[in-house]
Parts: sequence; structure tokens; C-alpha cells
Amino acid sequence: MKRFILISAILLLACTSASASGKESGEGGFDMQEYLFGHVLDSYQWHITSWKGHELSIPLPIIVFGQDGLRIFLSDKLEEGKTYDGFFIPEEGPNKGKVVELDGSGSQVRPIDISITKNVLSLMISGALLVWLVLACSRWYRRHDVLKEAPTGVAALLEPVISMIDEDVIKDSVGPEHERFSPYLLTAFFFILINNLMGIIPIFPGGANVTGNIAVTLCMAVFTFISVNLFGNRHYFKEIFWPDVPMFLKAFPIMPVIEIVGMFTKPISLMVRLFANIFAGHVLILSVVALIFITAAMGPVLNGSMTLVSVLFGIFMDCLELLVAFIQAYVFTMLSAVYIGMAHPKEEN
Amino acid sequence: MEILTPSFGLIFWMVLIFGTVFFLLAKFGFPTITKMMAKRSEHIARSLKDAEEAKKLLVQMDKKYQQMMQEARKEQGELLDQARKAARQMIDDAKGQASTEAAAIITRAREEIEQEKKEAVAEIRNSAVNLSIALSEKILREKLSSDATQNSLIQKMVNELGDNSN
Repeated sequence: MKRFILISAILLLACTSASASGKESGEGGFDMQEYLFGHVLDSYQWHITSWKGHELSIPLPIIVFGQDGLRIFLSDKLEEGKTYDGFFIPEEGPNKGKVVELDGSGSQVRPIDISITKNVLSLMISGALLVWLVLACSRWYRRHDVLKEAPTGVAALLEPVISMIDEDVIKDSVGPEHERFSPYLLTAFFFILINNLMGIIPIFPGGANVTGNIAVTLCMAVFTFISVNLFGNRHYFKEIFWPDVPMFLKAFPIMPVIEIVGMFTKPISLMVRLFANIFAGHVLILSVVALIFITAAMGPVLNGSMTLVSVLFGIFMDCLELLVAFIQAYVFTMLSAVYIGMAHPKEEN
Repeated sequence: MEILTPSFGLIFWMVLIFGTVFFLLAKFGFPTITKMMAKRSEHIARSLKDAEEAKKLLVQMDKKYQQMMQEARKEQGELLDQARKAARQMIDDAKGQASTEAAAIITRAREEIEQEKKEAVAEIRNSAVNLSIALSEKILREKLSSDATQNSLIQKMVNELGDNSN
């Protein structure tokens, strides 16, 4: 307890002095919306920090198919409203923050934009990390006799998780055909988990709001939709289009319509759940951190104490987000497994 | 609304990256791991079953061993009992035999003693008779040297004999 008080006092002192010195750098009003969306949304460069008025960020390649064909260049050519090769990023209007070019009539048009944005780079990093981890694990298994040795290293790290997901979630939910789907479900689980976890890390290789981006969760949901419906068996489709209900429900197709809507609501719920949870988590942590900047103008004492509160609460929120990262990956996998299992009903009894 | 609008570029890259990751992991990663894990869990299950069986066998063997021990102990007791009984029997027999023999020896000794006694008595008597005869011969020779005494003695002896014949 004594130590806790001591640490708190030191933190408070440090925060107070930090905020006092921060105030001198002469920041204007704090734009909460700008700050939040700047962190939560995708962007063309990977912003790391501001240092003495300079923006420190990693420029990322912009890849666009415009009116003159393919163009590839780094995003620092467009920063602060500059125009490069006819492309620019407007700061106002419907295309705010996106690369656009002007067409013949002088209006903004979006080119086909497959730039390596912050989220894309983050996906690449975490994807590479995941591939390395899992392949290292499988290499361990190939090189060691599993009957004589307990797993070590990466294998020891991944095995309990793989075992838990494979045994408890996939086998139980998918049923007899689980071996066919377990690679997809395991990949989905680890992909979501690693992106969630990378999102919690506040600095460079992490911090991108990947799984809190609707495009990413949309893709994940579509993959699940495909693996449910492409491999669904006869009985599954019979249940949808010609279920065992009284004739008038089929002839006046209430049941088929409901079932078909159900086919789509399931992946949509997956998409929205993952997106909303991770997005909300990021927004929460950012809001807690924003307390420091909001109170910066209210004097060092208030700001210092709010900083302490914000740091402590931020730690708590980060721990909570760790939990959420795991739970959301787990829930996505489990529900996908359940949906896949539902698409393989046994012979009707 | 921007947060709810999926961007084409991100979808494109997501499909590409996830596809690559999925391909690599589904081909080289997870099947190997899950197969090995299944192999191991099977091995563990089998080992457990074997251990259970071994335990059962051990219990059975222990039971058998105990049974054998019990039987052996019982047999040992019986044997001991028998041996003890036999020994007692033998001792008793020996004792009986010894006592009868001793008795026989004693009776024989007694008989012999009696015999010896008789013989000794007879001998004593004989020698006494002889002695007395010799003595009386000597006395008679002495006494009978005179006729008077000879006659008185004869008289006396006749009297005595007459008394004795009564």
C-alpha cells in the first residue's frame, strides 16, 4: 500500500510537470473529433507522433488506377494538400481524406484505390507474424517426436490455444466433418486474435484499428458465409427453400424468405459484432487518453490529477481490451463453427 | 458515415492477405499440428488405458500372491502342527517304551537279585550245614572220646529228635 501511494505520488508529480511543460508548447484548442477519427480510421500514412510541431509518420505507398492508368507513389507527396500527378487529398467535401483526381468537368472522382494504407500494412505485418508463428509451431512438430517430448517454444505457446479451439469449439460445433473446416476456423481465430492484439499496442507495428474496420470484418464475414453456404449439404438447403412446415407457409413463401434472410443476417451479425466491439474498445481507450488533452487548458493541478486517473483507467481499459480481443476472436470462431455445423445437419429424424 | 463504408482497397488487400495466410497455414501449418496433437492425445489415451490394465493386472497378481501366501502360511501351520504332533508322539512313544523297558529291567533285576539272594541263602545254609557238620564232627569226636558222654549225648539227641518229631 505504501509503495502504491509512493508510485501514485511520483506519477502525479510527473504528469503535472509534463502537462505544465506541454502547455508551453502552445497547442491550440483540442479537436476531439479529429483526434478520435484520426486514430480510428484508416490513413495513407502511419502517424507515429508529433515532435516539436513536426508530424513524425511513415509514408506508405499509394497505388491508384486513375484516368491515366496505374500510378504508384509514396503518400508524403500528397501531404498538406499537395498535388502529385493530378492526385490530391481534399480536406473538405464528401471525399475528405481520400485520394481523388479531377475529371474533365473539374469534379472530384475517386480512382480505383488499392493503396497500402495503415490498415493494409498492419494486416501484412500481423499476417506475416501469424504465418511465422504457426509455421514455426508446425516445424517443431515435424522435427520432434510428439510421443516423447513436451512442446517447447512457439509450440508450447500455441498448442494450448490451438487445442482449445480445435477440441472445444470446432469439434463440438461443426460435428463429424470438422477436419475439413478446422484450418479455416483456426486461421480465422488466430487472424482476428493477432490483429486485435496488435491493435492494442499503441505504437508502430500495432495500433491500427484493423479488426475495428468494417471492410476487414466484412471480408471475414463473407469468408464464413462462403464456407457455410458453399459446403452446405442437401438438407441444409432443403431446410431453407422447402422446410417441413404447413403448405401455406411455403406456397406463400414466408418461411423460405425468412430462412434466406437468416442466411445473410448471420454473417452480418458476425461482421457488426466484431467491428463494433473492437471499434468501441479503441474509442474508449482513446477517449480516456483524450482526458489528458482536454484538461490541458484547465491548469496543472486538475490536468495532473486527471492524467493520473486517465493512466490508471487506461491500464484497466487495456487489460479489458486484452480480454475483449480474445473473446471476440473466440466468439467469431465459435459462431462460424456453429453456422458451419448447422449447414451440415444429419438425416432428418 | 466513413466508418461504416468499407473501402475497396482494404477489401482487396484483406482478401489477398487473408487468402495467402489461409493458404499457407491450411497447407503447411494447422493440419500438421492438429494431426500431431491428435496422435499424441491418442497415444496418451492408449497409455492411460494400458496403465489402467496394468494396474488391474497388478491388483489381480497381488490378490493371487496374497492368496498363495495365505495358503502357504496355512500349509506351514499345518506342517508345523503335524511335526509337533509327530514329535510329541515320538517322545511319548519313546517315553512309554523306555518306561516299560525300565520296568522290565527292574523286574529282571529284581528277579535276579531274588535268585542271587536265594542262591546266597542256599549257599550260606550249605556252608552253615557243612560248618556245623564239621563243627559237630569235631565236637563229637571230642565228646565221643569218652563213652559216658557218648551215651548221654545220644540220649539227649534221641530226646531232641523225639521232641522234634512231635
